[in-house]
Amino acid sequence: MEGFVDFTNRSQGRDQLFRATQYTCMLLSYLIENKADKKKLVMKLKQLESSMSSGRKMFRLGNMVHALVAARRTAELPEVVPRLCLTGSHLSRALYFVCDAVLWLRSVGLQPHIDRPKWHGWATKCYYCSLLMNLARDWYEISWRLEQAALEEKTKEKFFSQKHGEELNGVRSDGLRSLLRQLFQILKRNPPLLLDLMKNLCDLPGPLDTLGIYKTSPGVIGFCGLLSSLVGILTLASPHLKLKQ
Amino acid sequence: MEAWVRFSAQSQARERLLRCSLSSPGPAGSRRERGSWRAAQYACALAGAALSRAGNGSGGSSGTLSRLQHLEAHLSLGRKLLRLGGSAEALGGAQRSLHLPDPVLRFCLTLSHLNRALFLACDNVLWAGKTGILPGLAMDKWSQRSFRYYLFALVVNLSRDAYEIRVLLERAEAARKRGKSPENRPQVQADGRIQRLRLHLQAQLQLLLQVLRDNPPLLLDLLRNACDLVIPLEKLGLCRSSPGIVGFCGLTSSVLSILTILHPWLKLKP
Repeated sequence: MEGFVDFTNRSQGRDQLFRATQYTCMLLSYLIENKADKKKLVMKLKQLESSMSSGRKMFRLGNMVHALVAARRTAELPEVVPRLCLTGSHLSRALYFVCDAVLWLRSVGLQPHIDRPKWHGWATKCYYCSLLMNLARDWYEISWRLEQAALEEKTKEKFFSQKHGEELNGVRSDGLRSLLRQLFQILKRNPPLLLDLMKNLCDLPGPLDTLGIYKTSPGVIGFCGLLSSLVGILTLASPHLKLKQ
Repeated sequence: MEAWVRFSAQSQARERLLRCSLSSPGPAGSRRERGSWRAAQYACALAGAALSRAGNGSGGSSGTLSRLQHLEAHLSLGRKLLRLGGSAEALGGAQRSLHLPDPVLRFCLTLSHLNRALFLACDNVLWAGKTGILPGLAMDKWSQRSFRYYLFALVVNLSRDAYEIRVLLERAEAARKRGKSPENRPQVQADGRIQRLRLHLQAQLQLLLQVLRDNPPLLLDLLRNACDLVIPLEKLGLCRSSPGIVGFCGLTSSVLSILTILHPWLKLKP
């Protein structure tokens, strides 16, 4: 119970729990929507989902400051690509939180004449932009590790060919399979990188669907959202699994 | 602009900004967040009461009034959402307070935590009713129940404060008697009985003020509980007051609790 209290006391932990609940409701209501006798349950699930969503919007009001502070911190990173990607991602997230705050003002009734679809579109675009930059950073991390692994294999091959003369005959599996094998090994050896990649990929279907780039069903969005929330909960519960920035 | 840049460039200022931001990580940040939302809710209630008194129902301010009321309802529901699962925290607190050495403190704090756990459980049920998850819920009954538990918790907290004050008063009285010279005593006996009683009460009041002044955590806790007491008394109909007073007392107690979070030495231990 102590662990649960500690976890939920952290506002990020609580937010991830609410997010997981929101996407579970989305997924469940999609799955049982078409059953005739479950209409009441579907309505309750939808109401729970919307209350979680509006509650989370309220709690996100302070996160803009955090995103700006994080952007400032990542602007001092030594390597160029992570510096650009992460700073850009944090700045986009800050803009997303600004749009989110404006939408909250509208939903609460303080500014009823705000154009909801326009601001919702802007918020989704900013979020999508930050996801793409996170994925670019993930790809950078994977690519330099791939290069390193390829270099290691080359030196190993040279060493073996020197030792055993021409025995090796250059037996190599075809390029794609070895690339996939190396990729799998890199991800297996780096759980933080794997989890971050998974989280970013799972977060993609939502904005892709909202922006109309790639339409999917609410079931897919709910399932992917739930998965990404679970990864978020995991990285919060075990901080060593979080990808270092 | 330059002054702002200079201010934000200093690392101390940045830390303060982080500390004041609504949702910084850690349990203190979460408590601060809850305190900020509570302060916002009661500020809305106070503003709404002030507007309705000033406008006296005139049409011009009714738009703003309804917006404030709508915002207050939103904040209240959002705070209920924040409190989901809070019973676990209160039960943990009750478990911890069972190990206190002082028997009176042990009794008071454990009872207070248990009442708070029950209040939070009723509050969670109310949230489920308001969001439509339990549509057939008797909202009034559960609301009354939750305020009753809240009132019990506050009464127990106030009795704990009274016990602490009594202990400190006895200590201060003993210290004063030790330091007092014997020549002063015959002067008091010369006056009449009522005069003596008046002087005695005056001395006690002075001692009380001195004790409270020397113990800011106790003073803040006492003020906070006293301000909080107005809310359930009004909601249960035990004490007639206006929404303005409820808003003012709620805002004051929220500000005091934010103060104790920003300066942890101001929190009454245990």
